[in-house]
Amino acid sequence: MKSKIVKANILTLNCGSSSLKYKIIRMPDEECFVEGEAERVGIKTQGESLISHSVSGKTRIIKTELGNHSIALRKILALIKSDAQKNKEITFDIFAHRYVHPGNFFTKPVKINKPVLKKLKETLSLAAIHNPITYGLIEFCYKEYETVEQFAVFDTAFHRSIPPEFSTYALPAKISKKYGLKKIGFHGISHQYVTEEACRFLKRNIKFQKVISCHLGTGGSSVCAINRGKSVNTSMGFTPLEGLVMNTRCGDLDLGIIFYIMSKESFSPVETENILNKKSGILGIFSSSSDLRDVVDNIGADPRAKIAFDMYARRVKDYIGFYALILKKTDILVFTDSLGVGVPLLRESICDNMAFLGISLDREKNQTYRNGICELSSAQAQTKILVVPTNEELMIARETYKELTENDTRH
Amino acid sequence: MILVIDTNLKEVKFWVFKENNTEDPPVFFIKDLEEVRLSKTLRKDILGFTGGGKINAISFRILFGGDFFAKTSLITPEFFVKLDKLTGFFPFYIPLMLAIIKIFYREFKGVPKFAFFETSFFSGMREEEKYYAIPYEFQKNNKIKKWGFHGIFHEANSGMFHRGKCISVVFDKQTTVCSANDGRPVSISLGFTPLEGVMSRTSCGDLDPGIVFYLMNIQGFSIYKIDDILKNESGFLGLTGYDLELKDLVKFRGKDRNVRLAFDIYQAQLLKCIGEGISILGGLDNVIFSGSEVSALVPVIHSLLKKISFLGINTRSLPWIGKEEVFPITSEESGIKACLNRMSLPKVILYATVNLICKKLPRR
Amino acid sequence: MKDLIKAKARGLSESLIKFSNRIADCSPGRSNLQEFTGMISGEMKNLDFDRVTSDKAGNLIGIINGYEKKDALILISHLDILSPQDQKTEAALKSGVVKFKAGIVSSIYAAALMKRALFPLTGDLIVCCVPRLECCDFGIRYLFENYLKSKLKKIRGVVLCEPTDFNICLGHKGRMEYEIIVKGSLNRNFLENRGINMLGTMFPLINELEKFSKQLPSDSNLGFSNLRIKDVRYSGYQPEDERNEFRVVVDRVFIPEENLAGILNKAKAIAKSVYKGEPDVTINTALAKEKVKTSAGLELVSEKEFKPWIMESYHPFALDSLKSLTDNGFKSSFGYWKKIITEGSYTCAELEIPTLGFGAGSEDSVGSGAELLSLDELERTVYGLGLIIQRNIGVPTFGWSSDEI
Repeated sequence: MKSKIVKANILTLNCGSSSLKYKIIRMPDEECFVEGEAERVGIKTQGESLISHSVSGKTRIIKTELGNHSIALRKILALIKSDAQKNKEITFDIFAHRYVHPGNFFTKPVKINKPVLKKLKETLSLAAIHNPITYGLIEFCYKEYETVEQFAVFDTAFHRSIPPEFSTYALPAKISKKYGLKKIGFHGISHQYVTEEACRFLKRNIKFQKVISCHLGTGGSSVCAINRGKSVNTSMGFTPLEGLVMNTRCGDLDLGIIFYIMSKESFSPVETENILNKKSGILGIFSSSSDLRDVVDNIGADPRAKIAFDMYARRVKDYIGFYALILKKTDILVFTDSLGVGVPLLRESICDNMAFLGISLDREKNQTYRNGICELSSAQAQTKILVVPTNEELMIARETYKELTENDTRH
Repeated sequence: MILVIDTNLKEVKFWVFKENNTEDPPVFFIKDLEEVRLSKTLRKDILGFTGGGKINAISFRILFGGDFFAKTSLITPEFFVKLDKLTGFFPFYIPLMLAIIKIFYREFKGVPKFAFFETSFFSGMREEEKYYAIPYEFQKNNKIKKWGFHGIFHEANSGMFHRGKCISVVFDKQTTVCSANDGRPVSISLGFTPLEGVMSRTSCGDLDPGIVFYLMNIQGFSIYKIDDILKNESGFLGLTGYDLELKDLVKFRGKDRNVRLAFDIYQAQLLKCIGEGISILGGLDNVIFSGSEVSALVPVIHSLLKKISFLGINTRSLPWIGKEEVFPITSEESGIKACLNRMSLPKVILYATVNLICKKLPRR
Repeated sequence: MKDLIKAKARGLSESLIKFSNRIADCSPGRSNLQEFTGMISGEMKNLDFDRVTSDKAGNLIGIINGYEKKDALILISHLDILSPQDQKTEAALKSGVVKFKAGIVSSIYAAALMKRALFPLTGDLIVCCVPRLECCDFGIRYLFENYLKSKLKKIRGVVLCEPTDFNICLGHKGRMEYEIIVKGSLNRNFLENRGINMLGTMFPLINELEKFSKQLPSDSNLGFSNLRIKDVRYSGYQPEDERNEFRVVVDRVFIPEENLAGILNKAKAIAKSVYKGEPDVTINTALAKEKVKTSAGLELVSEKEFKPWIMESYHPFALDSLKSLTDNGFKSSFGYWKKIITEGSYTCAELEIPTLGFGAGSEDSVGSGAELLSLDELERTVYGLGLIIQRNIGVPTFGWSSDEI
């Protein structure tokens, strides 16, 4: 069936553990005319919960109780409805959700229906914080907005192309098969987006590019190796615990330590997992904060800040070194998300002493970078180094639109 | 004569080297561990194997030295006190080593005895390199850090090239990869326990820690069961189903799909360690492959070097024929040099022992 | 690690066979008890126990020192002091090891295995062989009131080396002997020229007790309580003589919901109702006692009561021990003894120390003559006990371990 050019306003919903980001993006133009974020959803903090809502660039802040994500969405939709009364252009046709971990059920975006909902319900424990929240929103939309099409776009789908020698763990084959234990990977939407944008920026055909993408955020971080537009390896694994040092996650760890901790301190598995997921990483070493930006502010004063920073940068370097060997010649190295974009010292530290692999940063460009997509590599470097702010919502819209038009589900 | 001793939990292995002729192969014999422990005629038995010649030194290979042994140690009464304190780390091994070494200490008075630790080389590694990203105080209080392994070989390998950036790979029961700069270690693949790093015949190597919690919390496995699975049922055995030594498995690499995948995963894990090494060193001058399995794994080494040839490694074609102990496997023009170190571990210990006694004893 | 324990168990098997044969040939009675216990303590010394001692009650204690001084683990086997008649029966059993002796052998060799393998333990391993007369727990009481008194608060658990068919047993019913003493002028059954009809006098009570025995409660895990008339003794021959007395000795098996006072009161009430027409009769009930004189010259009076006890299956000691077996090839599960009684009545019911049982063979064959165990079963018991010891007080072996490296 040939794809027709149809217009669609896609309302993308991207949940964090206590936030909900949304954008209405007109496809195929990729114009975003409504965006916002509900902050401090479902948590008690010193600050108040609020929705920061922008229409055509004009932002207003609405302070309001946000007991949970469904309440937040209801209020967001009410805002959109009231804006629509003033401006008929403000509409949406489709919901598109970012769903973190669909297990082995789905490897590409999917339209929501009863059978899909049933399968998704079985995956709640796979991403114990994010999945239940997103599922709740999907169910909410399914019930209250029956006539509006819904799609789920998966953070894991981009990594389905990782070949077996990188996705298989050296576990007994029977156990891996029985429990589906293999490298699944996350942040796929972001890695895919920044790769596409980087190639677009450099005017290079993605099919001939070898890219290493570093999604370094204040929450999770991961590195991805991309060859010809497809993911070939990534640092997160079956769970988001593997790979880089993160805000509160330990990343790669000698498993013997888990058993040692549990037997020595008589911790339960749940307690130990909590320590490695919520009290390790930067927080574990630096202890005053889990945010690398705070670490950077204290590097001169606090030796633990230096250790935390060095450990974080070193682990990213390790993965870049590994992926550089897999890809053989790295064409583009991309930095994205809050730390990748916002901390020049981090980029400098990661790229330091990597000329052997063709990676060489221009210090001045690095220091003076402010925003947008920018090239930071030195003139003689083989590998182009780019900063590309991520836009997961746009990627979600793109993938949804692709699914929509390829399957021609609209009349 | 110099006696080199290596113990595991079942047997004690002995190599007897002639000091003045190290080219001759040593006399090698094995004794059952219980036999050695309970023997009333140990000294006589051993002198029988040495042909009655005078033993000038006895060297023990010890797998773990913790914080107490930053270098090779002369065995004295204080040595036993220190070694005993390491029991908590290695409860099945340290008490046994203590018992065995005490017997030799008693039976061979007057002969200098040395303890070579597989972990001492890494005491030279920067402290920051040894930490994990887990709560800092907890690590410090419980002495959780990377201890490293195969230090005896890695030290010898990196010592061959006094200057420069070197990656040393040891193929033994475990496989370890060490990066060193000007002879000083900067990273090691095997850390706190043998579960970290590269997979082995039965252990899994690097693995997502989340999988352990998934199996415990969702599937109800106990830590003992998981520990057993990860140490004794994973690796090549788990992936292929074949309970064979690597040197035998490698022959099936081209014929069996599961064996091929297992070696591909093994190679990927090696690449990860090498990639880490290169990024930390900021370059690479030499790569050395050594260990008891090095000759059997030549096809794997060749394939690995081919994969990273783009770095400027010009590997010689197989077969690699030559009798030298340190055998170059790259061409003269290769930007990065690679070689096989086919020396056995007892011989490495022998040379190190000779150096020590020459420094220690007056020359004849 | 399990291969290590298995290998060490195999290494001790020759010595185990020799000792088992020696112990099988010796039937311990009051006359030759010292010879028997001397054999056991001698074997402990041969096997390099760090300390071997005995106390005045005849308890034998062997200790393997822990590498650290945390909670201790106690292995308890019992030693039935046989009557001369039982000694003869035992001698007729030509070969194999009778169950209580299997407990002694397996506990000693499990400890020897840990010592031989140099497995560091976080606490002491204490092996006790405790003498027992029928329904008298004088041995275990004396042990904990004296030698082990200082350790009471530092015990991880007690493993009773008794037949469990390789399962973990978590309790059993209680057992006691009590007497109903009926004293006074009992007229109804006087036969002229023959004296008191003893049987006729006692029969109503015995009959009531038999009827009552059919109404006893049961426990879902432990089974039914029961009552058995063990003995009746009559003294006095004259009618209308208040010194006439008869005693009914009852062997009573009871469950946790029953207690001593309740049982005795009930027995008294039954007797009173039987003899309510007799104005000059007094009825008393009391727990039976036995005077014990040990070979060391100690004189004790032992009350004949073993309390019922149940350990919770979710207790970490029970769970860890079961898991140590099932993780390593045993098809074990939790169970309860239905017939035999053990020292757990004291350690668990009175002292509240976590207690469980493990051993080869089934309790069903105890006393049936078919009590023999094969040496394979004995070795497997040693292996299983080794696993339980390692899991509970072995220094954890994660981290660098054995031959993997």
